Amino acid sequence: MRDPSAIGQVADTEQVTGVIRGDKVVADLENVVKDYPGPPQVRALDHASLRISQGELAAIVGPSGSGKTTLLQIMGTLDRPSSGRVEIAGYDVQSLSDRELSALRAQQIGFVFQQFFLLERESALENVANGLIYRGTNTDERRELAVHALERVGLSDRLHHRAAQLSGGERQRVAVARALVGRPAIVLADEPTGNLDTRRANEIIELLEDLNRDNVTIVVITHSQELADRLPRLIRIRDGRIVEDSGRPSSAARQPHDRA
Amino acid sequence: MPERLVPSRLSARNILRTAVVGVNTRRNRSIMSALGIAIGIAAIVGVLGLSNSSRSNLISQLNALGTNLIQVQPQSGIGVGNAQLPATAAGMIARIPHVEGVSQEIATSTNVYRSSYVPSEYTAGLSVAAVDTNLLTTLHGSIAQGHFLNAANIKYPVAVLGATAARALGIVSLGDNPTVSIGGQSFTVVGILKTFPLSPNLDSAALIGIPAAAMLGVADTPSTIDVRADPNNIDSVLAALAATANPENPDQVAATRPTAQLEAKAAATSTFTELLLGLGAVALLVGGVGIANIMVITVLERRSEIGLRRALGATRRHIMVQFITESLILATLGGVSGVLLGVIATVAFAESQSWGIIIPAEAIWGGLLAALLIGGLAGLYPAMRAARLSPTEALRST
Repeated sequence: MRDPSAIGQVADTEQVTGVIRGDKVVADLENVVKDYPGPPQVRALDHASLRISQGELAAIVGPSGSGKTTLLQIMGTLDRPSSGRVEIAGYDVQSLSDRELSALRAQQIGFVFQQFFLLERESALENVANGLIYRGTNTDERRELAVHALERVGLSDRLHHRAAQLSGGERQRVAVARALVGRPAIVLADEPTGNLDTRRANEIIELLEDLNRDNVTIVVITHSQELADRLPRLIRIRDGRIVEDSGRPSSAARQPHDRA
Repeated sequence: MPERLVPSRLSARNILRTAVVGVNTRRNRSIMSALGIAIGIAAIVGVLGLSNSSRSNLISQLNALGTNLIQVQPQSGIGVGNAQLPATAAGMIARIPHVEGVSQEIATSTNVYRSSYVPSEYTAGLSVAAVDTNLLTTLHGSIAQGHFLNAANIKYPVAVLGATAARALGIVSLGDNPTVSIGGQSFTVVGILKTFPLSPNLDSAALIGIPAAAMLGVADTPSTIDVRADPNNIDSVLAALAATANPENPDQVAATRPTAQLEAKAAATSTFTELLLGLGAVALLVGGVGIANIMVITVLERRSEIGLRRALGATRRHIMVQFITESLILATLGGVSGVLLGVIATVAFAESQSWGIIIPAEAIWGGLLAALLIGGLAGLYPAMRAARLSPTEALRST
């Protein structure tokens, strides 16, 4: 059994000037095209290329209809690209069957959704433990890991509250705990603050930043420029193209991404 | 490429855990849809239980009465005229091999009245029969009060009343030696009988001894001879009866087995049972359609949950198994409560009829099995729809 206190941390990393960064690429997208069959056929992603390394906290920002949700779905292996190459946690998505993709999601990808998607009648603990059910983790271990994950997001006093009894901010914390309880290679957050007021939204962002300091790789999808500006890396998408990428903080800031 | 990706196999416990969520989330709806199955199963278990209990009651009646009773009567009808059995018939029949007991009844044209003051047309439908002392043994009848005719009193004006006759005459107790008027003479009532299931005509009769009847001028030609035969040789006795009873005119003898009626009744009950079972099956089918309906709606409503589970790493198979299991849970709930309902109904009704309670085991496990089968079938299509849903489609639908 893994050390539960290690939730929110990723092993085999090096610490550089206060910020933990690894060189391992966890998401690698190359010339990804996604067409939705019409009529009219819609090109949601147009030769998008993107590389997310371990330990990054990146924002993908763009107006609605820009293709950012499609991008998240493809990074999350919920959908396959029409063409192009997608590699997640070292797996080439193209070569994987639907079953294998499910296993990949179970083991390597955590999701946070705008609508939280909690099971209302279940307790916070159950909801988080459910995040591990498809990994084959046994019940006792699931519960133990879920307790630690909820402690990590500051909800240790809400373990046995039903999801329906929690506030919006708390619900999103439960969802974050569920996303990270399995220590995935990457956490994808789709408008995680979209249903929250400013204060709760700030708390969630602070939580994500905090988790990122523990070397959790997080990609936040948002239409909010303000939120995107707060995060170390900003990827701007418009009409399915990546029009701006600040790249890794060490590289030159915010220059248009090379679509090679 | 890193290690091979293999989706986890969900343990039975975890499958149940995922499936219970849905049942639990919409409890009222779950109860209602389980109810459909419950009613069907209850109907089937109840029908099987009741019909078996009632049949077992008939069979125990049959066993008590014995199926080896044969009644010999003169064959009446066109071309036969007013046939009669010879007075010697009973004695002759007693000599047939495998005959265990014989007694005779002689119908009379007299009537029985409470007293001689009752106008003669007020017969109350009651008759008077002259009988042997061993009639009760042969017919497996029993006495409710007093005693039957015996060697000591058979020559005297004493009467034993059938159950219906006693009630009609208003004689409920033998305490003050009640008398009745038969053929203008006063007869002392010495006994009251319980009902004769095999010879209902005796229920509304006053029974007197054959010697006593002779004093009233009743002929000695028997109207009915009751024969008890060895149960294993009934056919051979039947074959010899006509020629023995009336050697001159064997075609004027009719031999019947009164239990044949009860046997027919038991058979008729089973036909009716089949009809009711059919109705139960229809109820069950409707219940199954109800579950299928609910499951289709559930799948539509819970697209986001399906999407979430796919995002958490559930395979299509996981989703399918979850919804089929959910449907099976509903059906099992319905099946178990249906069996309980059916058993309770059977026990209550059988108790009220003072029947023995017989609920065939097949009804119980058959009922549960049928519920499971229907649940599985009902869940199949919705579960397949749920599994086919792509994760992105499922997540988009909120």
